[in-house]
Amino acid sequence: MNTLTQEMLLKASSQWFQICTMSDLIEDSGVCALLPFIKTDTQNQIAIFYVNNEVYATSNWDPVGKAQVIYRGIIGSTNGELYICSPLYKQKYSLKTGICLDDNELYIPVYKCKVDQEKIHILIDASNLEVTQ
Amino acid sequence: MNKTHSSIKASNILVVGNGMVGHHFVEQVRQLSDELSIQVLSGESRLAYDRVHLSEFFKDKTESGLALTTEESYQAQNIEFAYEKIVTDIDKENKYVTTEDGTTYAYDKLVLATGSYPFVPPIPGNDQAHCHVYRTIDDLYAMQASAKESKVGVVIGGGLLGLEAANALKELGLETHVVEFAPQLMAVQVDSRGGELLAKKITDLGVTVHTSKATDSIQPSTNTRYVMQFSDGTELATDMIVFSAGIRPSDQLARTNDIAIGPRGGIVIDNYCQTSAEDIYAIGECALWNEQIFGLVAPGYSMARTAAGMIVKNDTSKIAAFTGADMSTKLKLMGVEVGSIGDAHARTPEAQTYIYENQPEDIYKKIVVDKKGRYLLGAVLIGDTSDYDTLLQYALNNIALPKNPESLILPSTCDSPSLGPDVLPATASICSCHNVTKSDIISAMDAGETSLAGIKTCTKASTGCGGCTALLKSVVDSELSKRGVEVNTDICEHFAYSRQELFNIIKVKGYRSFAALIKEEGKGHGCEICKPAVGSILASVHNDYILQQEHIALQDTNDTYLGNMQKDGTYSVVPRVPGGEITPDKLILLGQVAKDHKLYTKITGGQRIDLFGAKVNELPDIWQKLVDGGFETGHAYAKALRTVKSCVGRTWCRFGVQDSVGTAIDLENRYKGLRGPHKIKFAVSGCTRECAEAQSKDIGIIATENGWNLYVCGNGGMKPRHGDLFATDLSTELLVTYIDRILAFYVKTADRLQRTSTWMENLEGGLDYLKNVIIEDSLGICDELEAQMALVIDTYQCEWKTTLENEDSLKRFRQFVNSKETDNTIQFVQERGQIRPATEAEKALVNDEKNIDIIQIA
Repeated sequence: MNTLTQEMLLKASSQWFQICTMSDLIEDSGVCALLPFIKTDTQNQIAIFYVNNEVYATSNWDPVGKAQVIYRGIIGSTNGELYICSPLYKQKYSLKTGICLDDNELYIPVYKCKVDQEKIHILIDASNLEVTQ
Repeated sequence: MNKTHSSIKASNILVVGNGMVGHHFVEQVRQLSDELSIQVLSGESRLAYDRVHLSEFFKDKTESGLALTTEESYQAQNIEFAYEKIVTDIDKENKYVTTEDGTTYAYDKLVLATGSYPFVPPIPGNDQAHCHVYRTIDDLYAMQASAKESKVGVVIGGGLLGLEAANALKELGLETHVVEFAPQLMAVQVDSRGGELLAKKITDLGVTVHTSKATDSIQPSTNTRYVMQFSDGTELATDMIVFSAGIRPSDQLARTNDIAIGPRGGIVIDNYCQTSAEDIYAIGECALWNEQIFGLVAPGYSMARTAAGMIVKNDTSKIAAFTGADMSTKLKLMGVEVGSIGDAHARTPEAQTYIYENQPEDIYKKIVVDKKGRYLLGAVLIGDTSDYDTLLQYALNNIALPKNPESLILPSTCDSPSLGPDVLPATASICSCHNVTKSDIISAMDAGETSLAGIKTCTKASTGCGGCTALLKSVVDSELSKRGVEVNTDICEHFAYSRQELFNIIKVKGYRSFAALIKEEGKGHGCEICKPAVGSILASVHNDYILQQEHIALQDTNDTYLGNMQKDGTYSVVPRVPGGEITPDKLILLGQVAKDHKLYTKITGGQRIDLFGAKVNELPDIWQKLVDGGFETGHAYAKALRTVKSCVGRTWCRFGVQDSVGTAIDLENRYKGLRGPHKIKFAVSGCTRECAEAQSKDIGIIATENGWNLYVCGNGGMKPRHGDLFATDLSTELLVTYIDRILAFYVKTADRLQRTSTWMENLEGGLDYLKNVIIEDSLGICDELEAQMALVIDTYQCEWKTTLENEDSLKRFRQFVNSKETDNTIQFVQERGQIRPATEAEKALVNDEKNIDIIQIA
C-alpha cells in the first residue's frame, strides 16, 4: 500500500491510497483530507466519516452550496440508510451511493474505503481526474 | 324586495368611507376580481384601522398597530384612495359624486360605508374644550392631550363602548368615572343582575360607576375644571369628559340626496344591501336593514360580503343575502370577561332561565331556553366566558339541549357536557367575523391544508377578533384525527416524542448522552433533526461542554466549530460585548485581530462586531488573541442567549430613568451560555422612549420611574411581534426572578426551533396563563425552574476558552487531516476596502488565468 504521491497519481488508474489513520477520524462525524496534485478545485478534497464502525468517504464538494464543506455536516439515517446532511442547505446524500435523497438528479462522488492496521485507504480512479504536472 | 339590476358589469366602484366595513368590502371585491377599478374616499386622514380595539392604543399598540392596511398594500392591489374627502352630493342621473372641496368622482356602483357618529346628549356645556367623543384615532389624540392636563375623567355612557372608553381613561392614568343614565351597565347585552356584578367588578378595578344619573349641565369649576350637575341634585367634579352614549348612523348624504332613510335614521337597504337608488349600496353602521342598525363589526362584514358579491357577480342566486345578524358578543372589558348571546333578557314569551352565581369568585351565568327546554335562546356570562363558544353553537345552530340544560353552565366539577366539534353541523359558523363555517374549514383541509396556521391564512378564520381560536383548533384537530392523520408531534422518525417530552425524559431519567438516550428511548441512528435538538436539551439540562466527545456528533456545524458558517464555508467570529459596552482597548484589539487575519468587519444589530471570512483552521489563533484580550465567546453560532441590547440610559442620557447599560450587562452575564429551543435576544431601554427597541425582543425591559416594565415574547425578523407587557414597575431582583422562571419555562416547554413569540402564540391560555405560572406559581414548578436556571448559571464556561485548553478539541480545527494546506477554493475579492467572497464568475476568471485581483489568504 502506498502513500499518495504525484507520480503515483499520474500513473494511476484505480488504485488504493493511504490517506490518514483511524486516530484522525471522529466517531459519528466527519473529517477532511486533501488529494494533492489534483488540478480541479472541486475534486481535490474528500470527506471521511466514521460511523457504526464503518468508514465512508465522499467528495467534500457541496454541489448546491458550491463550497468544500460536506465533512462538516451531521450524519443521519432514514429507514436504516445512512446519509450526510449538507451543513449549508441541508440536502441529504447517501453515504453508500452519494445520491441525494431529496433530489435524485444530484449526487456527490463516493469512494471505496478500507482499513488496514489502523490506516485508512481510499480507492481512487485518477484516470478521470486532472492531475497537475 | 325585487329590483331590476343593471346588466352592465360594474367597471368602477366608488366606496365612500374607509372604516372597518368599508375596508372589508374593498378586500372582498379584490378577492373576487382583480379587474374592477376601485376608488376609496376616506373621510379621515388615514386608511382603515381597528376601531374595536381602540383602547389598546393607550396600552401597547401604536397607531400603526391598529392599522388594518397600508398605502403600499392598497397600491399593490391597485386600489385608488384619497384622504379627507367628505362627499356632499350625488348626481344619480349622471353617476358622479361631489366632495366638500368640489372634486367630483364618477362611479358605476357607489357604496356608502360612512359608518356612524357618536351621539352627544344635548346637555348644556357639552361643547367645552375638554369634552370628547370616542371613535377615531384623532379622538384618541385629543383625549391624550386633555389627559395630560387632567387628573379626573368621566365617561358618559355605560354601554360597551363607554366601558372601553373608561378603560382608555384608566390607561391614561386618570381617576375614572362612568356615568350611566340607565340603572345598570351594558343594558343592551346584559340583564340587571349581570349588570350589577359587572359594576362591582369594574369598581374593584378602580373605576367609579354611577348609574341612574341624568346629567343636567356641565359647569366650569374651581378645584377641577368642570362640575357635572345631575338631575337628582348630586354633583361630580371632573377635568375631562368623554361622551359615549350610543351611535347614530352617518346618513346625511342619503338625506340630502333623496335616498330612503328610516324614521329614526339609517339608510334603508334590502337583503342585497341596495338602497332605494339604483346602483347605490350601503353597508355597516350607516345602513338600516329591517328597521335595525347593527353596531357591531361582524354584521357589517356580512353586509360587505353581500354587497361585494352582488356588485361583482350581479346575480342574487350566486351570493348569500344579508338576512340579519347575530348580535352575540364576547369581550374582555378591563380584564373582566363578559358574554352575551341572543335573547339575553329572556324576552321571548314563556322563555325560562337557569342561573348560576358564584359570589366569592364574582361569576354570574344565565341561560335562557324555550318553553319546553329544547333550545337555547340566549345567555349572559360575567366573570367567566369559557362556556361562550359552546353556548353560542347551541343557540346559532338550534342544537337540542341536553336533558339538564343547567349542566352547561355549572362548574366542571359537575361534569358539564362540552359540545364536541363533531356535533356541530357543517353549516355551523365557527368564525363570525369572517363568516367561516365548519364546512369551509373542512374544504380547506380537503384541499390539502392541515396546519392550523395554514387554515387560518386561507380561510381567514380566527383572524378577526380571535374569539374563536380555541374552537377552530378543536374543529381542525377533530377533523384531522377523523382522517386518521394523527396530530403527530414526534420530533422525527427516531423518537416517538415531542421536544417537550424528550426534555422531561432527559431531565427525569437523567440521560447525559445521545447514545444512551436513543438506545433506551428511540430507534435508529438519529438525524439532523433529533441530534441537535437533543444536544440542545442536554446543554439546557446539564450544561456540559458541547464539544465533549459524546456530544460532538450532535452539533450543527456552527456549534461544532463555534462560529457561524457563511456561504463559502468560512466562519464569522462574534465575541461577546455585554450590553454593547466596549472599552477602546477592546475595540482596538478587535480591529487588530481583523487586520492581522484580513477579516471583513461589520457591526451587528445586537450591538457587537462580527468578523467574517475566517477559515476553519484560523479560528483557534483568532480566538486565542481574543480570549487573551479578555473576550469571551458570543454564542452567535448557537441556539442560545445572544445579546442584551441597551440604550445608554440614566448615566448619560437626559431622559433616562434607570441604569439600562448596567442592567443589560448584568443580565447578559447572567444568562450567557443558556442554550434553548432557539436563539434568545434581550434588550433594556432606559426610559419609555425605548431606544433599545426592547418590545421586539424575546425579553424586553423598559425602565420606569419606579423600576422596570417587563415585556415578553416579542420578535423582529420575519414575523415581527410586539412583546406582551408581563409585569410593571418591578424591582431589579423581582425582574431577574421572573426572567429566570420565564426562560426556564420556555426552555422546558417550547417546540424545537420555536421562538418565544410563536411559543406564546401557541401557549394555551396565552399571556394570562404564563402570568399564572410565573407569578402565581399555578403549576407549583417555580422552584424547579429557578433551580434549573441556577444550574445553568453556575456551570457557565466560555466554550472557546475551554476549547483552546483542550488538545483533542483543537484537532477538530485542522482543515485537512493529512496536510497543512488550506482550502484553495476559498477566494476573496476587495470591495469598499474589505474582503468579500469571490463570486462563481470571478473564480472562473481566475481558473482561466485571466487577470483578476483575487486575494489568496494563506
